[in-house]
Amino acid sequence: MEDKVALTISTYLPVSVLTNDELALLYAGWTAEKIFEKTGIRERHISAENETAGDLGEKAARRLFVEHSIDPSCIDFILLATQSPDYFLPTTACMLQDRLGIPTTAGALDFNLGCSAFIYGLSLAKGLIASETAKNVLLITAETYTKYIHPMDKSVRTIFGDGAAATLISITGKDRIGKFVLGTDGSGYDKLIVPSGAMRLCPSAETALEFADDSGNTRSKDNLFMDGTEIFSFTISTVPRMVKETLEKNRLKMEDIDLFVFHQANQYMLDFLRKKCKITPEKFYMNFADCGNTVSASIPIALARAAKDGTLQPGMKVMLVGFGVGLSWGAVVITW
Amino acid sequence: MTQQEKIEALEELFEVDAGTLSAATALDKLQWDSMAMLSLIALVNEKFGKRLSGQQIKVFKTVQDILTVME
Repeated sequence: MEDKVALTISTYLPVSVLTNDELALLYAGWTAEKIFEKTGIRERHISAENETAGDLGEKAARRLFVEHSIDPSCIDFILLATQSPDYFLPTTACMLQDRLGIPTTAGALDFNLGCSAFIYGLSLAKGLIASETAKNVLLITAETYTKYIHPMDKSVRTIFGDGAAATLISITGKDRIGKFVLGTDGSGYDKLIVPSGAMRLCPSAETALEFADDSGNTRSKDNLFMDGTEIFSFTISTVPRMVKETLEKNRLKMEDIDLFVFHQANQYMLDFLRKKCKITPEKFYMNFADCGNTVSASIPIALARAAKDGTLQPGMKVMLVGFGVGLSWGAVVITW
Repeated sequence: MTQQEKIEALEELFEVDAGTLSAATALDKLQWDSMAMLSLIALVNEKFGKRLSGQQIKVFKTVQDILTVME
């Protein structure tokens, strides 16, 4: 196990890939290039029919153990962030304890968040370690939004991809995780939602009825709905302020941050946020053209890529910024 | 921003030639799509420090409706 690192990360993307060329065939008047221009995305990975978020998380965790020589018996807490659990009950993280060969002395729980999940997961992990409840927390962020998406809803089908990341937060690295700024606005609950399927609205013949929206997208209440305009409006008025507050809370200035890794939502939003927050392009990491918006896995996948391609070096101060479904947001500064 | 500057900013947003937009221009004659709406939210945030919601935008019918929130 690597000593004194803040986070150790491995990732897993499902095998099947959906390209812009394939999508352009479905959507009249759209070319592969137009999809890329609007989103910054060329490909997204799609989970197999019988491959759940839990399965993706398991694969990411197995890679973590192998790639970083980590013995599963050292894990004493499993946190699984997903909005696509295997079952309503039991807890998917409990099943992963068994499948991954983690000791029965470990704690395990699922938590339901999307694009802000990695930040919240880090805050939970830090708390578990600081309270001497755990020494080695396995934070798995795994999502399969594509299973909720209607094939003829281009507003979301062009954006979201499936994927998972497994992150080890260890007691040796806990001081490298700084202070958090978090936030919630539940009044925006219906701006990014799968309306049916859980306890508020059970799935039925009625919820399965398809309808077209004003933009020509087709979906039913069983499908994912995202109000892109409202989400954009929310994000651009919330995130810049949060970045400022996170600097203040960590007693840092903009110049002290070596790299910003935002939730990899889409090109247009990220370009706007970068300019609004006055971050130079070299300090603003974007790497999602071949996997799309992987929701809770997006930040750790970006971090792993930044570490691999050399953008991220040990000792760098990195601000992680998550925002999205809930509505929920959070940010933290870590020393890599 | 003067009225003229606002119109010019909107001509750029809608990617139309200078001098083609007036306050009375109907939005359904322009490319009033989701990208234009995002650009407008960004513009109003950037230039006027205001948060425009999708709900407000949905009821816009003319360029004048947009000009009204640009302050």
